[in-house]
Amino acid sequence: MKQLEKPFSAFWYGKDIEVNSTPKTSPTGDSEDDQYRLLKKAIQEEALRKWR
Amino acid sequence: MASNIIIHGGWLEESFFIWGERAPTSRFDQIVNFQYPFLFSPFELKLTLFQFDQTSFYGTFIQNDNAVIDVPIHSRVYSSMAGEMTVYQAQESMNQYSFPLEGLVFDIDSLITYLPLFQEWNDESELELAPDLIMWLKLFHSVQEYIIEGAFSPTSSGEWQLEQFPYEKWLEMIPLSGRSIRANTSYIQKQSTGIVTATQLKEIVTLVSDAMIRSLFKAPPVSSAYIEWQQSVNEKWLPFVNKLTKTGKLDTELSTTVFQQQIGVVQTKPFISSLALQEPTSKDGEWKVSLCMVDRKRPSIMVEMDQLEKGEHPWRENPIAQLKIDLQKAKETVDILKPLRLSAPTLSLSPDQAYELFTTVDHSLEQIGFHLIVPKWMTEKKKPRVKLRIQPPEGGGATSEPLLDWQSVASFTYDIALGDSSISKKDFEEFVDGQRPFLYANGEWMSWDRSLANKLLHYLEGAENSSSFLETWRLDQLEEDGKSDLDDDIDWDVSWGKELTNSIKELYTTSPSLIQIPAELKGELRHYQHEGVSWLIHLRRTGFGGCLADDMGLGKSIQTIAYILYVLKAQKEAEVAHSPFLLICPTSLLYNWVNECEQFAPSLRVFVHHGPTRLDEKNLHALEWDLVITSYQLVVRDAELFQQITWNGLVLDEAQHIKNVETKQRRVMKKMKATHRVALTGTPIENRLRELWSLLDVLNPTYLGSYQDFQMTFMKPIERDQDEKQLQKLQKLIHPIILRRKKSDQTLQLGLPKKEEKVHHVHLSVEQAALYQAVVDDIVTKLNEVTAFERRALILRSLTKLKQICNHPAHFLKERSLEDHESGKWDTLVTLANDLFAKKEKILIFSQYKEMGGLLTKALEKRFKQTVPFLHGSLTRSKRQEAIQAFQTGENINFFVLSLKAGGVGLNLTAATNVVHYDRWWNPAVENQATDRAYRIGQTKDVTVHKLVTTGTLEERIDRMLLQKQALADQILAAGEQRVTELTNDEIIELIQLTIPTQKE
Repeated sequence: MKQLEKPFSAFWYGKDIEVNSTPKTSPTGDSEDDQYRLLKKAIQEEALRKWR
Repeated sequence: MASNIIIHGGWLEESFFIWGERAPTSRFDQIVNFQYPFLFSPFELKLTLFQFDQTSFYGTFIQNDNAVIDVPIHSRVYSSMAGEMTVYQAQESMNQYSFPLEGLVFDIDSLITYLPLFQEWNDESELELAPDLIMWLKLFHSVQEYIIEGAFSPTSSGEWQLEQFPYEKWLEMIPLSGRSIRANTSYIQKQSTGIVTATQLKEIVTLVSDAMIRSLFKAPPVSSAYIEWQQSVNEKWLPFVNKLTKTGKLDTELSTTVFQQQIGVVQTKPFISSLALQEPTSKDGEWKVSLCMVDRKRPSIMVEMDQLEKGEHPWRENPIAQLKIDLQKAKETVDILKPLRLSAPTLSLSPDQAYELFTTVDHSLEQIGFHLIVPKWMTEKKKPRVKLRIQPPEGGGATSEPLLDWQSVASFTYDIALGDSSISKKDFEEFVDGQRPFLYANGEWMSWDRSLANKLLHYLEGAENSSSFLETWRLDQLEEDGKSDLDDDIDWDVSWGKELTNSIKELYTTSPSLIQIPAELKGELRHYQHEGVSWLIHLRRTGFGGCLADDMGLGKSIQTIAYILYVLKAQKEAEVAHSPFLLICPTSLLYNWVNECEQFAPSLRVFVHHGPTRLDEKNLHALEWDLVITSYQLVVRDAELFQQITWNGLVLDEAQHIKNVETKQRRVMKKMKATHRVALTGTPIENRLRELWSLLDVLNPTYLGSYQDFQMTFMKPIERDQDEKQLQKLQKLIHPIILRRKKSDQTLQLGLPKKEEKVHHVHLSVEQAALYQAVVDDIVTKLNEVTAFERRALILRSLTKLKQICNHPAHFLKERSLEDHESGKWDTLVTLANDLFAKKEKILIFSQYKEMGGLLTKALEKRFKQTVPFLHGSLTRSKRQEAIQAFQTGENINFFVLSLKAGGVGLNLTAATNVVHYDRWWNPAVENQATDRAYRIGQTKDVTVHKLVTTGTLEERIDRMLLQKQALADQILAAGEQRVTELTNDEIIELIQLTIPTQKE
């Protein structure tokens, strides 16, 4: 791919920054097994099965 | 070798947008100014990218869309990954330029479906993914990781959002090129931007996370877990919870924090701080509000402050600490609550403060987690009922005279009730005038929207002084129509006086009680005609103008004459002086009316305001005449004179003359003063509902509301959306003021012979087909070059040319005889004419073109060696009569050629047993009127109507439209079930194509 100079390079390329692809801490602080948390767990398991 | 296709990605509003560019293969590659210079055709792009994808049928079903990309330029030079070029149309100083772009669009759900495929493009050797697309793909992957880790939660707008997602960082990482796409309509609408803020990026990411999580709901473990959660949630939150499985978002003011607390996403305490509002037991007593605690899951469990202090509550944890915190927040937010303390937990309030707490403050309390408990009646919405008792003025004079002038100011009294409790006028006025928030009547409290009550009082006060009886009648008729706030929120019940009620009822019956026919009428009325006259008389008595819309030939004239005679007789018996009736008709029918009056009502004193005899101011007031007959043109010219008196009645014959809303003719008619207005027409709707409004608004001003109202309420819903409900409402509204009987109605017992229709499909000759195609080609070329205004004129002009070619090349080429050219249609006519001539039948031949009529006349005379009369607009009255007489009585005259416009109305040509429509007019009513010259009372033989339609041309399509329009008229007037249709621009374009350029064999 052709390398571009300013101002075009700033347009076609983004900044190279480190980001974590996963959150640092899990936001679900509570582990009580109520209906919502059961749903959330099911969603996570299905996502894991499908995308990893 | 061709260079790689560079694939870019971005967002076009809420759709993912993929586009491609490629370096030009030669410097001669055409670069079209104003378009993105290196754009790779989106058509080829989708076939390349999806070449192995069966679901999209190898790319065929992928959608394209136009967009704009804002790119940087420097000294007019633009540079991208595919190449560099000078933007000549840009100015030197510009540092940004906007190129129109075309690419592939994926709505959010299809983006999720295709994501795995997008990832595979990395491996394709001829493709190169641009950094913008690469970064978006990385972001999508990151969203998936967040979901796997459980960093997501539901929002109050019914979407799944991510928690702790670094939007700011991603904004910097995604190249501007992937965020600079925008809709290409933005230059005429609000200027939109690409994705420039973290908030905008959050919206996009939420769209993606929401769609990704929803896609997981297809898995049975997820869906069953969802159903169980859904069942555990309070009903109040179900709309939000349900939305979590659907695309899009809810518009709500509820904050996500409160929502998450309420549905158990965030763990909360089992109780909720509350305030209980209590009403006084008398009208002027004090309101009270008290602190208490309510169980979160079972709100019916309420514990008051004194019990809490004693520790009498059902919870493990003592709720007082929480109440203290919440009370502090409530006092900071709501001023009224400032004096509240745990030690003084009850507060007295004024009615206004109580109202404020109930209305405006309730929401803020909820936001800080406070629950407000109000008396049950406050939340009950009782619909007010208003009963209007109309007091019609005392009737008097002749029994034929209107009981009521509907345009005059209505006089009435009213009662109001809320639910089952009636409210006195005093209480109602006090409630509104005193600006009281709640209503106390008959010992009970009631809640009523103050602004609605205010509007109602203003309306009633205004109506008492200015509303006409007619407006009140409309209110009654459209009670359930929901036209305004007041109609929507209030049940109206209008009661009319006894005599008026009976009279109105008559209008709704199919057979009104019959009047006694005056002896002055010389002639027999058929039963349906007797009913028609009675209906007209009832209309007059009720005070409504009406439209007698019987089919041609059913005797509208004799019914009108009988009506006039009846009124005159009643006035004479009551010894009431009267002004004359005014009858307005097309010039060509003036003497028909005179003849009919002489025949059926010799006692009538008739004045014809036409030619040398003109009314002047003196004899206008002299009461010498019973009936003045004149033409539309003269009424417009002498409007000042005609508007001087109040006519005994105004009769508009062939009332389609006032169908156009904008014409001066219609304005003049509307201004005429008359005790009663009657319109006569066989075709109250020719093309559009606006014509119906135009007509009925002259007969009963404001009856159908203003034109704008009518458009909004009826025209658009019926004509555009085929709204059955509005159609029925319109039918209900017009039913009492239009009487329409059709010849085909067996109950009329007309004893008419049969009418048969034959459509003759004819083919173009070779010469016609060539001419036709040439004109079509010419239009197609010009269409793209002309402005919108010119385009319309071009199409109309071309339609005429095409119709002329269908008729005969000689017509199109403006030749004087048919001999040197060939026409399939003419040949068919000749075959038909030979056949009918042999059977000695008489034939009417209609053409909309005078020139074609002339050509046909000459050619028929030559072929059949007999005189062929030709009736057209330029003939004098005596020449017309001569032609008609010759055809009706002449033994050796078999053909009569007529121009559709001049010969279509008012003539009696029952000698004919065949009617030929040589070409088609846009309007079925006009054709039917023409047909009715032969098919009318007095006809003893069966009539055959021949319509000549050229196959594959616009004539065939006009034929199809004519059928559709007939359905519109039938539907409005006789509650037909066909869908209402109207002509669209596309149909016009479709019209001109030659679909089957068949040659004549």
